[in-house]
Amino acid sequence: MERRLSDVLPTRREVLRYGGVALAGTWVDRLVWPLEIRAQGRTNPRGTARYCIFIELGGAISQMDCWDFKETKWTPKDLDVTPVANGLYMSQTLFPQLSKEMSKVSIVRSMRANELIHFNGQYHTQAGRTLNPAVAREIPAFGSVISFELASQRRETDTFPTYVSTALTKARAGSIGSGFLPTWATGLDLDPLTVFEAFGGSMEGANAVLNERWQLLTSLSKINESQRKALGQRAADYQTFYDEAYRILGDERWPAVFAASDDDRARYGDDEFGLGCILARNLLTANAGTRFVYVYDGDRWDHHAGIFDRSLEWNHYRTCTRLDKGLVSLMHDLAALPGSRPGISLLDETLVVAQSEFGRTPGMNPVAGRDHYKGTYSGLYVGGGVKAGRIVGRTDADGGACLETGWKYKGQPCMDNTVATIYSALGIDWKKSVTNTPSGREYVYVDTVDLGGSERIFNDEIAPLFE
Amino acid sequence: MSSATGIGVRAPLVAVAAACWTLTVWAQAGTPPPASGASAVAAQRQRIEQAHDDVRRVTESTARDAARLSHELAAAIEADASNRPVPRQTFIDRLVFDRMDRDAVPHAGLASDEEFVRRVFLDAIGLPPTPAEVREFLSDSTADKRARLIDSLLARDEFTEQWAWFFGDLLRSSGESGPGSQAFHFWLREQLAVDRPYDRFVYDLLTPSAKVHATLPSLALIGRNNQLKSRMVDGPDDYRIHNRLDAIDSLTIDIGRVFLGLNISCISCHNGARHLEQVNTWLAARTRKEFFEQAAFFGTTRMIGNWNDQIKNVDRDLQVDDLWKGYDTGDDAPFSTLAESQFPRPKGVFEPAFMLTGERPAAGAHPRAELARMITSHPQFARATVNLIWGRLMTVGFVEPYDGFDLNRLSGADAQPTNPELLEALAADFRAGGFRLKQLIRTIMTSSVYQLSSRFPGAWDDRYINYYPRKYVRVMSGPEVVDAVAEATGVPMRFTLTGEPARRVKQLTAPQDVGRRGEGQAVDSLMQSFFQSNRRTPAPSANKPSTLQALLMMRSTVVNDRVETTANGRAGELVASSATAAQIVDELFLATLARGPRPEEARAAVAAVEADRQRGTGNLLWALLNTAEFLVNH
Repeated sequence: MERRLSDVLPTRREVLRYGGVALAGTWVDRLVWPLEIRAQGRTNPRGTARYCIFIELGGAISQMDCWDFKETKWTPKDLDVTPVANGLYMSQTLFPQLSKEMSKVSIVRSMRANELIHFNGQYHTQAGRTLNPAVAREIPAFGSVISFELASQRRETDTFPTYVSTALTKARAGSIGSGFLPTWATGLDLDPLTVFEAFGGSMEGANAVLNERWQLLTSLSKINESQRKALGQRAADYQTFYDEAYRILGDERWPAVFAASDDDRARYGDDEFGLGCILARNLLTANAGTRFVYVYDGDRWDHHAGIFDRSLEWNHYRTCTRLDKGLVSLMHDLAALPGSRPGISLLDETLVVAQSEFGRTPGMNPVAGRDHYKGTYSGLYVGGGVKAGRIVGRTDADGGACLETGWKYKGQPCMDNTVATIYSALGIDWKKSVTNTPSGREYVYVDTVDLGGSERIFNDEIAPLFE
Repeated sequence: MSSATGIGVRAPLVAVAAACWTLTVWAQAGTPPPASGASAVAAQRQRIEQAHDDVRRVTESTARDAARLSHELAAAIEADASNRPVPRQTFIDRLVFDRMDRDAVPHAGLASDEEFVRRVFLDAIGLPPTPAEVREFLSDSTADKRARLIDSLLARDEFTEQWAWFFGDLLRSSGESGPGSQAFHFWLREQLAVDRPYDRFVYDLLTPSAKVHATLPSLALIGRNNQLKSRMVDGPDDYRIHNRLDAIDSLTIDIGRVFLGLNISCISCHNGARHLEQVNTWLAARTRKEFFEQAAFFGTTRMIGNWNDQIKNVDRDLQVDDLWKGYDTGDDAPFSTLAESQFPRPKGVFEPAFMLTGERPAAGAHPRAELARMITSHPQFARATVNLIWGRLMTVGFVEPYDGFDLNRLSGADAQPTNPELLEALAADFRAGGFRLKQLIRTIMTSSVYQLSSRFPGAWDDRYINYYPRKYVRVMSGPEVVDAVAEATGVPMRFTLTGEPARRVKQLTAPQDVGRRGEGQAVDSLMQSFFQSNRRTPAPSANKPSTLQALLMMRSTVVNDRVETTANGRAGELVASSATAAQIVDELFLATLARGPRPEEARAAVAAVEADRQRGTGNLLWALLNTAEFLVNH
């Protein structure tokens, strides 16, 4: 039978459903509910962490100048590199504080990226999988999966969303939303530069006023109740946002989340990254429902030119010392705060991960910068049940080639495995899958992917971190 | 409401006029050096990233999503359709209602005067009407009062603010080009005020010489991208600062998107075949060579920056001429990634040819002038423009997103536009009327289709979407929300622009102008939560309710400081006046929702004001600003 072009083409409706890529926000039309979830039951998630903070170093940190240090002809004289814990070397100039904490920290040096473009790489980081434009619209952020999975553990008193991100709408891929998962699994993205001013300040008396105003607002909108019911569930969605906002605003823990003392600002850094880390700490200490915080360090690491040129605004000295302050202050504060059980600290039950979307070239380019590199990069892990001082994988003299992967596979781990590791620590079975997605394609939490040749993405956690 | 802008419009206009219409050819001597490998790689990389950012840009604002959101929000809105018959007077009405009659699709009644007056104020000038303006309109009993209101709004200064912001978002006038973007802003407003033919307006955008920042922010954007790489160049005359293929391609993509409704970024990297069949059949048949030929219209254009030795950076005033050698892809070093295996560019020299017709510029003619002529005289130019404006006013465009036209599917059983006949008729009317934007807006607003109620009688069915049987609700934009809060509370914004006070966000040239001081940060947060872009990236097309919006509307100082009854402003003045509780309630409902309270609402609101005149008044204003009805245009 002869086929016409229109037989082959999807209808406009189907194109709208599958062809578009929605990267900011949620899919309004949820075709499938409830989700059919299949637990593979072949994993034993470790459940060592109650919380997770993921720090994305947007733009890509230079691994061979930082956590997988390699001395080469390009190494500046003033880096003051010394041996630190676990046989590593590190620059005292770039990481004056972290270099003294390395015995507590684990590093995966054998990471491999799949992309060389910020947009795709940052999408992969946030989604935990490579971008597939055909189904991108239904793919949730891995933070939304966490939110969905931990929903059953939410308590009556929890008001804050399970998943909060900072400055993520400024990332190349934006905040990618909850895909086919329900709207409430969407991350609440806060801008650290404005949110303290917008929501901070004394709430004394303010809650009474808010309460009074809310009553009036409710009495005004109640009048529409009958009409709203007639229109069914979807019509109530708008009210849901206000109800959720009111519950958050009415929570007395709210002001503490949006407070940053002068001492905090001095220690963490009074900028987007430092304030993002303060917000993460505050959200966890408030114990008000937030379990996963995604801190986006906005695109300061893309050092294509003059990486060690101090006259440039975002040179490597500045980005590293800035990271050093925020990260180490976060580690110190979480370690000093009590956990949910006696004898353990908040850091013991919070997995902190810092990683970028890919690495940077081992060689310097003609303008003294390092370009994008996918062969190797590093991830930093601390707390949340990850053993201290694990150094996973080994690279060659200039850091460009992986000599040992450091885990049971011959192929290198990638972002998917970082996500599996986070899921495992939080007690989530990472081989679960959803079979009735809108596109009909099975969504496996962490999937195996053949990339052609010997390259392959494995559906596993990075086990040596825990062992 | 004051119609004074508070900004000195005239003075900058003189300067801009000089920049636009004086063709200063600034000949540059000497041959620029070839691109070094590193900078070409960096340039190529940037181009790849830009192209794919564009492709993957949010495309959520589809007809269905908008219609569903509209349906959802309509539930929270008090809007009774008027009982008057729906007149069918314009060609828009005939083409929409005849179709509904044919297919037995029910439609909403005509919007009541209350619903209409708020809608048309917000759409035309971006502000809700004042209580006095609502009362005046409601008490007017003449038959042509809607048409007269539309005319009076289109003549106001705020009309130019509202639509200059719209075009500023589209053309990405980010404010980073310094005085140039201010000049551009005032030039844009002047074009809109006098309803200068849009084809002439676009011609001027594409053909400037001399100082370009004043006239084409897309060019300014390119200047900025390349400034980042300025450390890699050899000196002030190095052509690579501002003459790079990635910059030319990016501009070509912008032009296709805004003026032709076509997103050609895909074929800037690879042929359409075997990539786009499922997305766009017209693009699927286009080749990368055709893209290069389209881009080649700018291949001889040079943008030359002024060099500042101290910071090795270029000044923001660029000079433009068309004396470069041409579009030669051999200038780009090969760059390939495994993720994007289509690269590098095949080497070659490309001659300009207009993608839609294959026409080449006449010998000796100015290539950009030829391109401007070809674009503005092609039927797709009018189609793309009326689609933009229709989409803005009707919430659901004929083609969504606005740059998603499939030219093989303009008509027939498989037609892409929601109403192909109306799209063609409106485009023809726009052309015949001399490309007048204000006239186009008037034509749409005076139709009964635009004036339908958002309240749909009976059960809604998604199959009705393309018929426009009701007015679709839209969430207000960031600047509209902020300006509406200021207007409704009677406490204006306190910005400054070029030393002059500005009372509204839309009087500023770009989102960045709100600044970080005073209220700036809070305004910035609020606008971002309502999806205002920073204009460095293409504007997000989705604007929908979120928890963050609710949080900010309830807690932001932008709102809370303005409902204080102690301050100067509507609430304070009402409390201090001799108005009764019922009068206060009436006034606040009119100021926010452009309608009086329903009896049940009046009971609750009057009780609150009577219980505590001061607190009750402030609380009521706050509550009204936080209703769904206030935050949407319906």
